[in-house]
Formats: sequence, structure tokens, C-alpha cells
Amino acid sequence: MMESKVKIVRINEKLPISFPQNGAAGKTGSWRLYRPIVDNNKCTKCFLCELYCPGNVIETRKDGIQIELDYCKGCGICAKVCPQKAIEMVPETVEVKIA
Amino acid sequence: MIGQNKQIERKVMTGNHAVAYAAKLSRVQVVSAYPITPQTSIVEKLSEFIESGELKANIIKVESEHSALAAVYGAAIAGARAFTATSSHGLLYMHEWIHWFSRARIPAVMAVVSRTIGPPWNIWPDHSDFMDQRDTGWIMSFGMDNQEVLDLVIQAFRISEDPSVFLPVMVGLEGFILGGTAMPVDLPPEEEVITFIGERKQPYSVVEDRISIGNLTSPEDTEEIFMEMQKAMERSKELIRKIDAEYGKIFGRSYGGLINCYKCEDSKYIIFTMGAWSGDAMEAIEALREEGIKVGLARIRYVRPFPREEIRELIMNAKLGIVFDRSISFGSYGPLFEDVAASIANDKREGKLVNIVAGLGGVNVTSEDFVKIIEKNINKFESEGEVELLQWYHGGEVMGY
Amino acid sequence: MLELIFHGRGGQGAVTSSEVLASAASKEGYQSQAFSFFGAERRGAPVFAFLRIDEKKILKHGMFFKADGLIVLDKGLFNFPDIGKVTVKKGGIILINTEKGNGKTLATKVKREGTTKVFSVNATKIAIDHDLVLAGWPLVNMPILGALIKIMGKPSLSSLQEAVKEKLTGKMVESNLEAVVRAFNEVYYEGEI
Repeated sequence: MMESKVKIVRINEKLPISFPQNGAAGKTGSWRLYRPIVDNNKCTKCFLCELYCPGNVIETRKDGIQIELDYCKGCGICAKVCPQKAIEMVPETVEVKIA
Repeated sequence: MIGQNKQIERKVMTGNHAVAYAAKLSRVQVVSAYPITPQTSIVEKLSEFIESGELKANIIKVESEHSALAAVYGAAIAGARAFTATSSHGLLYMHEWIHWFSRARIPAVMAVVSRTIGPPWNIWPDHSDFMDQRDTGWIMSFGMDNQEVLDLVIQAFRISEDPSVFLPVMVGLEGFILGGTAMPVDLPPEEEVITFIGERKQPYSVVEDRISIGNLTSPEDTEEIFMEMQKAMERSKELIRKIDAEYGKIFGRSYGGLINCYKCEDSKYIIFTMGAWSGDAMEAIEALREEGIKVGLARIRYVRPFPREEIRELIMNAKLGIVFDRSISFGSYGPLFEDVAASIANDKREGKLVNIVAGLGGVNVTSEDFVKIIEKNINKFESEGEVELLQWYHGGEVMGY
Repeated sequence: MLELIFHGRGGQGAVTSSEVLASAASKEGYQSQAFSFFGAERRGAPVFAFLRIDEKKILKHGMFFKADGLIVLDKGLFNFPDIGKVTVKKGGIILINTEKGNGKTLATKVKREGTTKVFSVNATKIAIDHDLVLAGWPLVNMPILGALIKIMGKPSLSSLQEAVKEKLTGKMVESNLEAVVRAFNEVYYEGEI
């Protein structure tokens, strides 16, 4: 391997880079129209839903998968790719408050 | 002369090998390129350097030029001093990445061994491929001989990695005329080159930073990023002049910054050229001056940033400016002419400007041709006060368009 | 400025000839420039290589077909029309790889501006004698330089040998160095035309 001797010099100019952070655009889970419901009894922990999730909100754990609903936009890709059909997309019930 | 005590090695080498030596002296760490005539011998030579252990670098093998520049980009955003070289259709195939690279503000250097564009298939030199890149946000320089090509590549790394600029740089040289022609080249000592360029610098890196590059932004953010690029280009002019002078003090060769003047001082007529044929044009200037015609030559070394200040000053003092282009923007003029003309757009002047398009597809243009074209235009201007704006020189004849 | 044209066949090493001589001239403080006919080359087809040598910096880059000297690496090239492109300047030289006594007849086929000195050297025989044969072709491109520098009087034999050593590698180096010396000694002045 070669030695790497790069020096990062910050400049006070606008660059086409961004520093991603949790919730930079707010809690995007509020954009969701369909909510994924997981049946962890059917789940074989194949990781497919985690790999395919475009929002990176699915985590495969020992006891099944966990979806971070604060940021899940409800696209349904996880349900589509699940070979066990362990994820069901159900309509969100939204309470509309009338002033 | 400063630099005379240094261990300078003189070797007779082609322009392509001069590029390879310059990349080696600049200690590039990553090279990625795809072979194309007349560029190939640059990367062959670099491979030899790596094979023999003279250069510690990695070569990334790729299946196309598009991937070559992508690989160079990947290496560069990770913090490596990276280099590529290409030509003609290979350069066009890279075009998307060329834009991406500069907008990402990542330093790197590319050599462009210029060759015309097909069809018809033709491997001979003109500036069509190089000039096609002038809106990409790269700093663009062009050499006149092998020694200057070596010097330009070394300086390109320094300019590119300067925090006031942080833009990639492409260095042009004609295929065959320079790329395949052997001439003596003085090689500066590697340690001094490294001291001159300094350590690798860049505004961010994917190794140091957890970042996302080039994601969706608003129109306003996008425009502001482009405005910063334009400012960086303008700032680079002063840097290029400074570095040219500094290089001269250390290594004994300065070229005059963005343009190289040859007998401009008392010139009534001023010729503008770029590239190797400037040498043939200088021989023509000599011949014309022997006849008592006060003509001088301004050789454009940097197309981007365009040296509008220098050029404006020269034209304002001349009766007739003749701009030679070795490429054409079909339906308009030669691209150098467009920039020269725009530089004086708001100035009141008595003189005239002429655009000569010549040498396309590799047509050989000699100093005798230059004498003929220049003399004809000066005579017409002096007798009639008028000259044809756009002329194409072909088959020994000047044709109006 | 001295301008020379090497006329050979693709693969015969005319470009290497001009490059090695450019390098030898550079060693003696001259500026030099060596290049091939711009474009693609095909093995066996007629090709040109060009050489400029001067005391001051060489500015010209264009190809030229009017030269101070023409060096023909293969006498078979006189049967092709390509040789008709070249004009040798008055007082120039023509050096041909051919048998002794053959040169003048061949050289008359070359356009000349005035009197020209004609020389011959049997570089093919020298190459074969020194085992300089590759893929069936005698390697005449280095020996012919030995003859050429004898005619021109410069650069010196030692500068040429140094340039040969830098350019070539392997077992061909020694044989080439010997062949260069032999051609240097065996070049024959055929007379003026």
C-alpha cells in the first residue's frame, strides 16, 4: 500500500457535498400513507428487506426485523421483496382534527 | 541562470514521454487510463515506471475512458494524487465525468493528446477534442514543445491542489506533432518538484469525512456552486502567473503566465495561436520582421481561464489582430476567436480582427503558410481597410466564409 | 538548421534512427527534433521519419519534404511513388543502403534542387554479418547511422554509441555498436550528381 498524505483544506465556498444526519428533512414518517406491519413469526431473517429499503430504516435483529417508523415513508418495497410475505402494508389511519 | 547547479538530466524524448515523466516527478499515486492513439505511450511509460519501482503508484485497469475518469475521481476524492490521459473519442466518452469532476471541486490532472474527431476516421492532430471541453470547468492549458508540456503538467498539480482554486486541470499537447516527436527535455530533480508542488491538498475526502456527494439540491444552491467555480477560475489567473514566475526562479523556465508573447511590444499586427504550430508561426514572424513588417505573436497557453486582460491590452494597441484556430464551432467561428472577440466587446477601437481556421484533421501548416496568410491579410487591410472576418485556409488558399 | 528525411519501410526502424541521432546530437549540445510521418504505419509500407538539428532552439514543428539529406533504408523503395515527395536541397546528400557503385543510378530518381553528393553503404550485409536479423528483417537502422555521421562529420561516433546504448536493450546492443563502427568505416562516396 502507498502512504497517504492528503491534507484536507476547508474552503469557505459552497460545494456539492452534504453531511447527512438523522432527520435533516424532519420526521419523514409523516409522509407515509401505508404502514408496514411485520409478522416476525414468518420472518426468516433473510435480510432482503433491510438491503432493499431505500430509507435505510430497517434493522434485522435476532428476534426479527425492526422498522423505524419515524422515518419510514411507507413505500412498500420491503413487503414486495419479502419471500415469506411477512410484511403487510396497511393504510394509515389519520386523525383529522377539526378546530 | 538560477538552477544551473541543480542536477538536471537532459533526455531526448517524445511529448508523451515528457508527460509521463512529469507525472512521475509529481509522484502520482493512482493512474487510470484506457489506450487510444495517440495517447497510449503516456500510460505505457508510466506502467514501465511502476513496474521498475521508480514510481510507487497503482494503475486501475478499466474497460473505457468513461470508467477511467470515474476511477481517477474515486481515487482523488479518497485523497490520492491521481492522473489520466486520453485523446479524441476517448475524451468525448469521458465528457460526463469531466463535468462531474470539476463541479465536485476535486483536484486532478489529465493530459489530452489532441486528435481530431471522426468521422471520417482520422488519428491526426487538431484542437477539436480539446476545445470541445472548454465549458466543463477544468483549467485548460496547452503546450508548444515537449519541455513546456513537462513544465505544464508539474504546474498543473500545484494549481489544481491550491485551496484558492481546487479545480481539475487538463494539459493539452498535439498528438504526433508533440506527442510523437522527440526533442530534448530537461528533467528537474524529483525532490525539488515535490517541494514545489507540496503535499496533496483537497477540500474534502470520503476517507476523512462522512459525506454524501452530488445529491439533490435546490436550483439556488446549484447556481451558487457554479458561481463559486467561476470565481475560482478568475482567482486562478493570478495564481497561474505567480506559479509560472516561481517555477522560473526555481527551475529556470518561465513562459509569461497565461500567454506567451513573442515580439509583441512594438507590434502593429498581432497574431494569436495556441499549441505547437505557434513555433512555426514564430518563424513566420521572424521572416515578416525581416521585411520590416511589425508583427508579433501572442501564444495562448491557457484557454480556461481565458486571459482576457492580457489579450485586451494587446489588441487595443494593434491595428489588426489575426486569430488562428485549429478547430471550429460549426456555424460560428473558431473558439479562440470567439473568446478574443468577446474580450474587447465593450471597447472602442479602430482596428480589425480576423479569424483564420486552418490545420483541421491534421493538415500540415508550415511557417511558409503562416507568412502567406498573415501577409495577405495585412496587405488587404492596409490597402482596403477591410478584411474578411472568417477565413478558412486549405490547400494553400485562403477562403472566405 | 539541418533537416534530414529517413525513408524506410514500416517496422524497419526509421523513426528509431532519427530518434537515436537526435539524442546523439543533443549530447553534443545541439537542439534536435525527431518525428515520424504523422499518422498510422503499416509493416512493409513506405514510411518517412524526420530529423531537425540546430544550434538554437527549434521552433518549427511542421512536416517537411524539402531536406538537406535523404537517407534511404531500403533500395526497394525506389520502386514506390512515395520517394517522389522528397526534394533534396542544393549541396545536400543522399545516403542509400545498397551495394557499392549502385548509388548514383538510384539517386537520380530523387528530385534535387542542385548538385547532390551521393553515398552508399551496404547496411543490409553489415546487419546480416552481425546477426542483426529480427523476424526475417535485417536491422539496418542503427548501422546506417554510423555511415551518416561519418558523412556529416558530427555528432561523434562516441555520442552515437552512447545514444544507441540508451535506446536499445538486450543482446542486440553489442552487435549494433559493432555494426555502427563498421558502417562508419565502410560508407562509400559514389560521387556528385
